[in-house]
Amino acid sequence: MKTLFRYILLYKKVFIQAVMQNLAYPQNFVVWMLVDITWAVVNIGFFRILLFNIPEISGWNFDQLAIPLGILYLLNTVIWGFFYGNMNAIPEYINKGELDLLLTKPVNSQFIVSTRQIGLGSLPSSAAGIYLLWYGFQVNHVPWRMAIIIPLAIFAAGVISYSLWLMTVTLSFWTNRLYNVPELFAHAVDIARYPVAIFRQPARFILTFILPFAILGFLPAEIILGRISPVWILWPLGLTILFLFLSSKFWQFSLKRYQSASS
Amino acid sequence: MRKYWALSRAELLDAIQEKEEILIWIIIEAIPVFIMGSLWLANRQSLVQVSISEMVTYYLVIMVAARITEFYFDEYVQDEIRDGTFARYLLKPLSPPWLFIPVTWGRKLFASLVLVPVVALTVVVFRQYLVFPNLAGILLFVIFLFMSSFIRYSLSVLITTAAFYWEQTYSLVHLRWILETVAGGYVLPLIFYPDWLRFIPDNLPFKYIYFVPAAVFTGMITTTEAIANLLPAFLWTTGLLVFSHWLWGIGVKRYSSVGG
Repeated sequence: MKTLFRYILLYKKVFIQAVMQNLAYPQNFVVWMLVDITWAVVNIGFFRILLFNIPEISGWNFDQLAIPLGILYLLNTVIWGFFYGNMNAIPEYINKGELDLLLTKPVNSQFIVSTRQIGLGSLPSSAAGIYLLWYGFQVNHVPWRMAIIIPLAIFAAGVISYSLWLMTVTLSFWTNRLYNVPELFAHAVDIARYPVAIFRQPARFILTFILPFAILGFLPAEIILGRISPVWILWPLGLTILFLFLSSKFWQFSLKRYQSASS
Repeated sequence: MRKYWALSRAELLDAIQEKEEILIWIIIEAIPVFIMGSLWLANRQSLVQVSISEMVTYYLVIMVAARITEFYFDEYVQDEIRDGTFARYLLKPLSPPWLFIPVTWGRKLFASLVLVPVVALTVVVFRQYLVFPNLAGILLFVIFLFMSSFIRYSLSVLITTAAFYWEQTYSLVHLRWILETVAGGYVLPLIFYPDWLRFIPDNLPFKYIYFVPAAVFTGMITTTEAIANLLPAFLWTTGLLVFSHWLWGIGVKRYSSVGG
């Protein structure tokens, strides 16, 4: 309990420092917000245009799609706000030997590399997500009690995303230089925006059970729309434990390969 | 000229050394193609304006065009401007930003070679869905690809120039990426856009980056339409090239670094 409290306190300090860092480059911060708003508008527009041309995407019309997209926009705020900066920095720490500095600190190395940076530029995404969910609930006449699924879904999707991302970034220990590996997950997570039914086998199996992008937004959306039982939320929640465990084990295992660059 | 050749060769050797990164880029570029290809194959009965063959070919061409025409020096030169290491370009008998062309091409040569087996495999898997242009189509495609490359180069110069004024310009790199993706037709051919919206990308240079070359290749636009697009594409290319270099000239005068 004492350790947990210490980590919460540490994270609070990191958060304050991160806010100050964000505001240190005001033009960049404002443009990031604009980029995020543009991206949200563009993405919603993209599905609108797509569904002007085809009536539905594998059984999902725009009104129904608003729910998984809303969940994924909220997830986007988590991914870009809390993970992107940190994941982006890990290959550089490894390649330049800067990890030494972090390994010598009296805290868990996975915690420190995962929490040093926070980006506030992705906050507009959450507004887009809330709007889409409100719209989706209204037009599909979903009872508001189903909103309880949303925080559970965001939590599960956030943890699974973090774990998958960390595992891909950890591959940097195994090569000389892999600066672009964080971008791999950032782009792959786009797969979650489409129903898994559009993919053929074996991709469908992989995206459901091995790299479970299919369950990040669409599984909770199916629960909310009453297509499947709410009990199914236990699946992504259960996976969070498995993926967190795997990412931690892989980090510890890969850390043994780290060769310091210091003199 | 020899010095630029040497630069290009050095970058090629560097790229070979970092082959894993190249592989990651190719996977990243293949992701939207995989998604959109799967999406259209699953909903092929809904396609009205174009055939499924045109769509599959469109995304394959986009994947290749993206790799051939890309310039990304804005992503790292802005750091060099900020931390002062940019001075190394100014102290050598090289001419930035032109020198970033051989630098990028040298690196890209290896990346393009890596892409060959990926494209070959895709062609084999999707061979029944592929369409190929006639000789005039191929010629026009190559011309548009060439112009696309210089438009992307100019955009990179513009973003890098912003680093002479601002301390952080990563957000602009993302803005460029959004514009190239949406207004350029990377994820969706512009013919799918409703008329009122089509007006916007039609009056911007981004459509010459992906949409026009890929549409020429697949036959989504006729040869006559493609020829009619040549002059505006040329004007955008030269206009952006001149404008970006003019701004660069002003920006570089603001640059100051600490000597060592």
